[in-house]
Amino acid sequence: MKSKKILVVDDNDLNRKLFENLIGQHFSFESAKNGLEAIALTEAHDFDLILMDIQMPQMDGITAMKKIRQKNKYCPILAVTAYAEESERESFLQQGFDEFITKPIQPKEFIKLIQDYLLGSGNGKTSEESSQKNSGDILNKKLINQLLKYNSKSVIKKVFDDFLTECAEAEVLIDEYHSNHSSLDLLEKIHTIKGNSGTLGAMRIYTFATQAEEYGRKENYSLFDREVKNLKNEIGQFRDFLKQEPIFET
Amino acid sequence: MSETKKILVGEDSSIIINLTKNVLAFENYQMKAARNGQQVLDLLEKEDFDLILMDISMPVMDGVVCTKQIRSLADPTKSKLPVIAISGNIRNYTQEEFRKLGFDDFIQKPLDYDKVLATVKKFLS
Repeated sequence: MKSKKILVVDDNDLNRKLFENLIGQHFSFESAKNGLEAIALTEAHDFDLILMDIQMPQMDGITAMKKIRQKNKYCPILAVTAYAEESERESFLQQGFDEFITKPIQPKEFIKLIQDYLLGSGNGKTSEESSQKNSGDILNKKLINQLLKYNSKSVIKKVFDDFLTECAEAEVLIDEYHSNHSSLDLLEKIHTIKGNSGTLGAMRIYTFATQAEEYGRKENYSLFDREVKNLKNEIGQFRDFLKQEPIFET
Repeated sequence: MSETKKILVGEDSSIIINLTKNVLAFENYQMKAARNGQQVLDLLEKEDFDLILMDISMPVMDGVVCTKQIRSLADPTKSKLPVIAISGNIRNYTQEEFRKLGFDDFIQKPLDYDKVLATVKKFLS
């Protein structure tokens, strides 16, 4: 999930290094040493998730979280704190954090929690909010504009037609997989779909293809089953979306 | 301006081939495509190229094996051609590992075509 970018905010150099090492194995990241730096970074970049220490110099984590929330309603902001009691959880959540994590962290659970949030299954958001957030990513306009810099509209249209053909092939393989449980061809196809969806800005397909591939390679078949179903569903939505999308009309 | 530079792309996806061709044409680079590592070697035997963009996962012969073969070619020019990996990097290679495998550089998929062009230019200018 290197496409996901996380902001790590912690004033303690050692703690920050620890988070960076752990997070860096799975995601892209940037770091800030206090609330002010964190706000400056969120104004310059988009983040998929923020890890926020509470007690920091210059500006504490609660103030920073509230300021970031004013501009960004949906980015999950997770409080990470060393000295709080579990009983303070409610108060942190009420103030606007999506989650409350106490240090020292358990690396495995920690990464799992972050992954859940990045896939939108974290419990801090209502489903309506998360679907609103994701719908913008069916097709990433910024990427399309970059492609249009080099390619004519008719080329882009042709390329998307090819992509839909690949998607249709994946759908057939997914159906076959559910009856014969042989995942080898399907995994290859998913790998191709992953690369192409990312290149073409079909970000939701990209997310599910990435997850499915990861579970497939690890032979975690129960999760793989779930993700290929999601992927198929997403492909259907993408196809419908393109039919209504006027940017490809030449 | 000097002669048009020729780029060979080893890539099994027609989508990437089509887009890459246009992007490279933008800078007047000529491009030929091969669908797998074996085709890359076949084309390289018949023609001269200035640079190779190489997908890692391809059928028949993957990009890692193909690059190894290129590095052991008898022709001193061809064996030293810049080879840039383009990959979703499922095996999580580091830049250092890509270099050890014989690649000169690595571009992560999904492709950012500004970066593709900048990287190619870096090697060809």
